[in-house]
Amino acid sequence: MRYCANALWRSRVKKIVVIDDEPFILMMVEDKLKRAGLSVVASRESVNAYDIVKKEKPDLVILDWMMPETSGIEVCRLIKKDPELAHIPIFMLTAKGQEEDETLGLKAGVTKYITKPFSPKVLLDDVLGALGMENSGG
Amino acid sequence: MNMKRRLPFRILSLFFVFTLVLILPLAVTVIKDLTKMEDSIDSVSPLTPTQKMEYLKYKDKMFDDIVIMSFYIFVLAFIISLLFSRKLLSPINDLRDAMLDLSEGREGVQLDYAEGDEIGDAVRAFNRISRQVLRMKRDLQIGKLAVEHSPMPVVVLDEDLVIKEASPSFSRTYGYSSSELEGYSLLEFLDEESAKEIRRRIFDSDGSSLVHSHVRMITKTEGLLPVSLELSDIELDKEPGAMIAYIRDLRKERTLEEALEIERSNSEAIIDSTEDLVVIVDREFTITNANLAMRVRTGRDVIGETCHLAIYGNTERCYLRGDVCSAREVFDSGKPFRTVGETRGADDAAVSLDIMAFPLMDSAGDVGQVVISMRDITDRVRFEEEIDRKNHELTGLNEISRMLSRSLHAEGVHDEVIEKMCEMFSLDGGGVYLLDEMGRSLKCESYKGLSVDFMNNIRALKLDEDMPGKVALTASPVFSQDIMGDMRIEDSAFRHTGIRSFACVPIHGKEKMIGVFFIFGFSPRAFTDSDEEILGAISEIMGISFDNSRLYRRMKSLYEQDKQRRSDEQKDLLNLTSMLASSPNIDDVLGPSLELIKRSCWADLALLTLLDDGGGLIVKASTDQTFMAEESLYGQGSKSLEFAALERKEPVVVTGLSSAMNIAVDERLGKYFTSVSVPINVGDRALGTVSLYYSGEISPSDEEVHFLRTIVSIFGVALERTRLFESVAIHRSMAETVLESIGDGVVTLSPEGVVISMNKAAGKILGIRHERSVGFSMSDIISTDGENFEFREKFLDSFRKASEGNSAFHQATMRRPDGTLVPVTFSCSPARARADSLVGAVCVFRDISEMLELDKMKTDFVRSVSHEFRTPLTAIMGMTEMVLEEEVDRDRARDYLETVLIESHRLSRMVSDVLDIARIETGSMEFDENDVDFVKIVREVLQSLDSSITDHRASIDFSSKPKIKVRGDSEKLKLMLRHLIENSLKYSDRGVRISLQVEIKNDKLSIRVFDNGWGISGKDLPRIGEKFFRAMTTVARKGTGLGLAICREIASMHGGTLAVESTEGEGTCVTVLMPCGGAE
Repeated sequence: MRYCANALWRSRVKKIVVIDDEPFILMMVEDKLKRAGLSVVASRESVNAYDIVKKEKPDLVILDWMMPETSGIEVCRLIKKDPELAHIPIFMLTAKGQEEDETLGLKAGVTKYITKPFSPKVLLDDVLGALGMENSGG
Repeated sequence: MNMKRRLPFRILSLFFVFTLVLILPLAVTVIKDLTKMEDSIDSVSPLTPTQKMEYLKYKDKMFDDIVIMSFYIFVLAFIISLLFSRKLLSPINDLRDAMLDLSEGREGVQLDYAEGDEIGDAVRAFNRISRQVLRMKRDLQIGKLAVEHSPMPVVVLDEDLVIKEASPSFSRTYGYSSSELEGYSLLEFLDEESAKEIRRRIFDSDGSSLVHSHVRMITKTEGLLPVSLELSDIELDKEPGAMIAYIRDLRKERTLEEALEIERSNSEAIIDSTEDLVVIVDREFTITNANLAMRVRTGRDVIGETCHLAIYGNTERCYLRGDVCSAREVFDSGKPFRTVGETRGADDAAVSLDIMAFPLMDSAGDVGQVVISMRDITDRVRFEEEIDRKNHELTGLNEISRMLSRSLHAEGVHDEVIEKMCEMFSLDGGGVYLLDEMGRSLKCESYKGLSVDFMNNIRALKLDEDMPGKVALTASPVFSQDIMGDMRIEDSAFRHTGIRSFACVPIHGKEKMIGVFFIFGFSPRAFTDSDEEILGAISEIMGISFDNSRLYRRMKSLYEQDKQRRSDEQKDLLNLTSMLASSPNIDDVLGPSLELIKRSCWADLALLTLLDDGGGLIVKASTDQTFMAEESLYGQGSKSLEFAALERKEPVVVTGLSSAMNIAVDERLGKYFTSVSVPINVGDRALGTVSLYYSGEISPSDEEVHFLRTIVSIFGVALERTRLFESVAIHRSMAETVLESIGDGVVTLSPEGVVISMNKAAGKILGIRHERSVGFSMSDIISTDGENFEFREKFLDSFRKASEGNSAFHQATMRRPDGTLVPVTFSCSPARARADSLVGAVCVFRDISEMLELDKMKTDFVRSVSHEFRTPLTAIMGMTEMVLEEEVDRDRARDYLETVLIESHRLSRMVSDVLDIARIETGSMEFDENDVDFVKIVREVLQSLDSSITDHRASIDFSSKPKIKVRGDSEKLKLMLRHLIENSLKYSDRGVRISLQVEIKNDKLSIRVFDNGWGISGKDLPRIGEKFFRAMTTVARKGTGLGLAICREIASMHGGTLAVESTEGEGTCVTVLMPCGGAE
């Protein structure tokens, strides 16, 4: 049973939740990840970002830091507080480049910190790397 | 030794013979019996030949056995006897050996044999003999040693006086060796006479007694010597057998006796030769010896007399009479004693004696006798008394001279001087007469020992009247032993007073006769040369002291006059100085000052003139009301007295003013005769003159002119000072205004760190009241709070550096007394009065909180701008990348490229925003003014923002007239409007309602933009519109923070204003009011 479950889990398509208030960035990231064969749930609303994650239970979350309602760091903290979700790696997209911001992000439990502007290809590589998948799909 | 004679051998041979004697008869008897037996047997029954043969054979054998047996017995007996005899003879041998030892001289030989037989007895007897021999030998040795070690020469003689033995000391003393002595008669060593004497005495003696005689002995080396000979018998076995003689050398004794004799005669000679009287007394005070001087003085041999009789002629003992008895003192104390006594000499004159007594010890150590030595010191005592008297006189003289010199008023000490003189000369009185100034009469200043009535008669004397008058006239002293018989003093009043001795001495001053003094006694007294000399000396001292005191009085009065004059001048000067110095307005005190000068210089008019700008002289002040202040007196270059003084820079004195040629004089001054004009110069600058006018003819002394110059220079300084004071006051008030108006805090500190001044700004920055801080130490003002530690340390360090002459600049956060923190920069610089003298420090504080905030705003701005740039860049870069990689299909690629375009526009707008604000900041924004339709502009802007409004789901309500014309820069106005609407969009939630009202009110264009967005907190409201400032609520928003700043700048470019009203959470209203600019 256990073996079957693992196999099942392994065979499952990885799911990514992307939250960003900038529609074109959301669009771009969504397109890129989907092309790589990943399942993407994208949202521009940061207010219910936690609820989306709770519902979807994704394999990875990509958050924008600067969002009008709830900032990415807030969302990150909420996710990390939830034992059910705490294991999910979180990527933080931000225009902030200062070191102190990075430290703040890592403290809140951010797995990787991606500074805007970024290359979608590199983002995808990082995401696959974090999911433990080889970038065989290209 | 013959062996055969030895005892064992004798015993052995005896035994041998005895044995032989025993054995032989036995053998013979046996052989005979055997033969008989053969014969008897043969006789009974004849024996066959064989039998016979057998028998004979046994018979021979038996015979042989007997021989062998005998031999055996013999040998055995020999051996036994040999052993036996050895044992028996052993103690005898021991005894023999011991005896041999004893005889050979070994001492204390003892044998150990305790048997009771004869040999035992013999051994014990031997032991006793041995011990006795030992004892005797020791006794003999002791006797011999006694003789040998005797320090006194000893000889042992036999009955015939033949020397048996002589002690080594004898040989040593008299030079003979023992071989030269032993065997010879003692008498051979004595001279003939002595030998005879000894023989006689031995003959005379009863044989047992001692013979003792002094004889002469012939020595080997030194000829005849006196010796003492003692002969005594030594009895041996109760019979006189030998004699012993002690021979003592008498040389040393003789020498000692002779030396003693010489010593004694020497001491006697010494004692006799001294002039002192020397006697020796015993305990009975009887003189046992007296020297020659004593005998000569008393004229008899005093030995045997008592000392008190011999010396003092008293029959009674001194101490019984109550006098000091030196002998008794010494007997009692055992120590030397010294005293001075007095007796009567041959002519019954008193004789002083210096008496010294010494103890003479007897053999028991007690004082047996006393030596008394007396010296006649009469002359010395007299001489000492003479010296004492001289000393007394000199002391007196010295005291008089001190009295006179100590007092600056010579007359005041006359009584004391007379008193002292009387004491010195043992006289009864005296007095002093002084000559008057003219030298015509004498007056008695003081006297002693005379009645007032008497003195009243002769208190004043004419020159040549009575004794003092005569002495004063002749200037030669008079000394009279007794005036009663003195012809010189016949007509003197002093003769009727009982005065006998009299001396009158003139007192000479340096230049003239001063007076006379006299002393007298009521009994005759001779004045010796020495007395006259001393009185002469006293007169000289008195003369000098008179001169001195007169000189002193004169000097003092001169000094007092001078002092008074100087003091007056000084007072005037001080008054003037204080008057001039104390008044800030010199004009008020010029009049009184001139009045003072006039008075102190005894002038009739004092006039102060000053040079005016035109080079002429104007009247500044005067003591005459006819001269008006500021009145022009002389034109430039006129030949007045004042100009002359100014030209020469020296005081000018003119007499005969009205008649003087070539001098211009104001008509009001014509009435004065003399004038003094003193120029007022400060450094090289001439200010004017002070002139004094006198009605009479006077010629001012140098001192007066000098005084005047001093006063005038004070005037000059005061005038100059006033001028400087005024200019300094202006500078100072300027500096103070500057200090008070600048934003930086300036504190001046003394070298000790005490606040000297503090401007308003400093007080504000430091959070204290600046006007109250003066006089407090800076280290007290700065809070010692822990948070303030850094600031305090830095400040104190900075101040320390400033005190060392270095400037230092620091930045720190300071805590004010009220607890607020303020970031400041401050620097302390040394304040210098001159190049090398530090007078404190100047500290400048600057509140940099605004600057820091500005800095932070700029940083925030840069960060914000960079963030805003990054977002569109992300889209541009990422989407372009994806399109290029052909990862999206054609339609999607188109969307992508559109987005890229939009974002590029956004980026471009941002760049122009930043550029706009940069231009506004640098003031280089162009202003292109035209008549524009504002409504049209609004519509254009709304159109351009349409997509944003739609995105934001906002509703815009725009109300206005159809057309509003204003004068302005349409681009700028558009920019402003767009920013205002964008702000409302940015700082609000979606679905915001924006209302835009544009109208003309009171000739002004009013633009109001309402929204129901987040609003701005009251705290941030005042700062809204400042460059770079974004309210806290906007942290998470996009925006450069420049929007309102740009709007405000644009409004002010159009001569308008921008106002913001807002309530947090309810909405914001921005109002722009600007003139229509002449447009309809």
